Amino acid sequence: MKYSLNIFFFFSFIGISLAGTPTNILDSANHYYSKGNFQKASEQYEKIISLGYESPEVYFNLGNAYYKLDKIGMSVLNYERAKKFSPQNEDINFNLKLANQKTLDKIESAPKLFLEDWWDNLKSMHSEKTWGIRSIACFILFLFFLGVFITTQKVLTKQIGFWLSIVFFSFTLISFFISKSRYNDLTNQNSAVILIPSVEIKNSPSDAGTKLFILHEGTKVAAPETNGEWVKIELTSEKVGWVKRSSIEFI
Amino acid sequence: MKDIKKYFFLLIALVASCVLHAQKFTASVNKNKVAVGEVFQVDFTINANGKNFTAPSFSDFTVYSGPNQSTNMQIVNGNISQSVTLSYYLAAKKEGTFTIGAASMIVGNNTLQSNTINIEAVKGSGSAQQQGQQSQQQNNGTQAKNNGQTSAENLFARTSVSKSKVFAGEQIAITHKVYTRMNLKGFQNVKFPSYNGFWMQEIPQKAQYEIKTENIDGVAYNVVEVKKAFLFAQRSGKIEIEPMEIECVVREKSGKRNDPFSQFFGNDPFFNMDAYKDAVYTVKSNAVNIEVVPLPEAGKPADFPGAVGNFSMNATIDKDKVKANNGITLKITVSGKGNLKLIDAPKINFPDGIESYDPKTNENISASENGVSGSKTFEYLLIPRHEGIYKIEPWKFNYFDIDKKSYVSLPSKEFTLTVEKGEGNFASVPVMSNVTKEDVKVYSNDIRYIKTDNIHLNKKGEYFFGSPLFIAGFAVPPLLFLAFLFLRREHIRRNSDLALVRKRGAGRIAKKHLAHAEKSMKNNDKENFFVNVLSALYSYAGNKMNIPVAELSKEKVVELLKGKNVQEDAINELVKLMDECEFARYAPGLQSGDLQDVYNRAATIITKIENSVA
Repeated sequence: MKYSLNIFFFFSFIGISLAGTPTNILDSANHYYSKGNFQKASEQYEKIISLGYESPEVYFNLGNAYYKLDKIGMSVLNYERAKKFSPQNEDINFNLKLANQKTLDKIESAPKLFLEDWWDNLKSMHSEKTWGIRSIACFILFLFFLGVFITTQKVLTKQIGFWLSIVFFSFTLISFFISKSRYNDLTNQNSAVILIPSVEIKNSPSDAGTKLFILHEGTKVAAPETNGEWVKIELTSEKVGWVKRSSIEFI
Repeated sequence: MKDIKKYFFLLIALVASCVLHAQKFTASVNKNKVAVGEVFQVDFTINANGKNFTAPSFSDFTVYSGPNQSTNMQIVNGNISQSVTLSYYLAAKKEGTFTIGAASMIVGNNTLQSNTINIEAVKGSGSAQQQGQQSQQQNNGTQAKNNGQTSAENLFARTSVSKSKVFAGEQIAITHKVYTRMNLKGFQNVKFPSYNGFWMQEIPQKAQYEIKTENIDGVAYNVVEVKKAFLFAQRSGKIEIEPMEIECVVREKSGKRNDPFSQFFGNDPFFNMDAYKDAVYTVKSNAVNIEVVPLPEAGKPADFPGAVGNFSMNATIDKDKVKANNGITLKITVSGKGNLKLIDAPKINFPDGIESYDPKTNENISASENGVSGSKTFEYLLIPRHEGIYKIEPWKFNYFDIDKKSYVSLPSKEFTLTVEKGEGNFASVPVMSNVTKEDVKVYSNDIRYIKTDNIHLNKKGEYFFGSPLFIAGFAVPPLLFLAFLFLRREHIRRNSDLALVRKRGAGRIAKKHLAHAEKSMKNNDKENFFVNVLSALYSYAGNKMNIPVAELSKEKVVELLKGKNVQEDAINELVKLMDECEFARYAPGLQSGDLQDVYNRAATIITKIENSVA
């Protein structure tokens, strides 16, 4: 009995390992996409994500499949998710722009301050991981030059060691905070995309609330607060309201 | 002479009758209430001999025929009564009540006016035409009482089609025929249907109508084919072809020809032969309904040019080698049977760099009894703008084969064009020439393609920041650093302790060596004496300056002593003594007193250095 059970598990494990590795699913999804079967492709991409894997490319491809299926809300959601990982990726931004052209709501984003823009650009140059590794590398270099500064007897070497250790220490701090900021961006779910064709935004988290305005599928909103079944959303400082959790999806 | 007399007599008689009878000029109609388009008859009758008949205006009516004159003369008991009738066949143009005004005629010196008649025209019902025809036939009856010649069976028109359910674009033969058993002389005012929704190709009519004989229900008819054509439906659905309307001119007997005017000039009025006159009848054929089925969607090519039938395609190019900016003609000929006129030019993707213009279309289409056939030619003018080798991709001419009921695709061959540098090309023109660079043409704006390469699938929620590895990255190096610093300090401390010991023991060890030297001096063992003095000097210097034994040399000692601010002459003295001792070791001959001197000097120098190096 025990043996047969073991054999059963063994075979089922083989079955999973043959058909169900995320890489295989990804290949088949890409194949479906290239053949124009976007429905099947989107299902396969979703399967990868449901298995607990993700990558900007998978979100991007899934966004493409939904775009081709004319599901603009889901398309925008997945492009935005891909963008979280690779904010500077030109392809993602291009397709997201096209998808946004198909949405109904006209949202004017506030112009960024110069410093903010600069910081965003710096941040998006590398991934959270790269910035983290960079931070550790700079820290090690800082320690090295600090060691040189401490141990050397020669005056010139001592000076070089002193300045380089200061430089690398600042690099360490900058990289650390960039990595932390990227990490926060990835983990904080504070924006969402509307997924149903049109939704009423209420002034309070209840069905009885007054209708403030209406948003349409594919619009990205800031979602800073959740209250049970209701999510507070913000478009601008003037357009704030509550929406049912079921009609949106967090990015 | 006799004739003149006769007529004179007649004239007298007429005049007499005019005097005898009141002159009456009346107008009458066979119907007062008619349908629009229905033919009715108006008779103007005068029982006298008149002239200058002026008909009223028939502006509200269509005059189908008239004036038709008939004369009636009766001689009863010597009384001659005569009447002349002028009749018109009219039909109301529109609904309403219309008045047929008075006609006038001059009889003798009087002008007579006829009565006026009101006609009420009502909206024609569906069978109005038939009524009209019937009434007309009745008219004929009244008009030509004696003949009894016309009836619906004697003159009618028919429209027939080869098929009443067709595909859009399929060929239908339509025939308009007139059947008659009368003496048909000709046609006038033929109104063919408009064939809305169809493209019509007519079989050219022969100069003379051909009269054939056809048997319908055992009755032989003369049949005239007025028109035969082929129709191609341009849209699907039920399409009605309206009836054909035709006016037939029929020669028929008009009874005795007793025209009072012609009697003056003509034949003997009493023994006249049968006279003939032309009567005009309007006949209308049946309407035909065609059910047009759209072409099947299954297997319909994307670039279907609308061709239905049976075709072949031929494409030629007038030259395949050309200089830039010179034209080439691509000629595509589609020939066969079917709706040639409705075929669009095939869609060809010309390579970029070749300018193409809308094709010039030539048609050579003819219809015969078998159907419509011919050819249609599309001529594309192509102008290559840049040198190079261009390929015109093969295109497909698609048509719907009506026999097989399926789509057929005829591929073309591929053309290769070699374009050479054109004369007076841009190269020879100064840069300022108005060569405008072309913007990149954007045909459509679509999303970019999916990514397929180098995809690293990460476990969800796995981030480097804050991971154990990340924390280790920040925790381990400082620990290593601190460990390094600690070990280094220990090492330095231990090293510095050792040096101190050596330094402190230097003098003691030197004294020990000197004591040995003194012993050797007493034994007069010169060789050992110098060895012991040298040992005393070297070991002292080595220990004092913490020089490892392996590195111990005179030069090193001098260098280090200089670094420790020892007086120059003391250093020189030391070096001199070392040289002397080394020399004396291998050169025996020095006196014992010398030994004492060397011993004292060595002791002095050691003391000197001991004092200056703290």
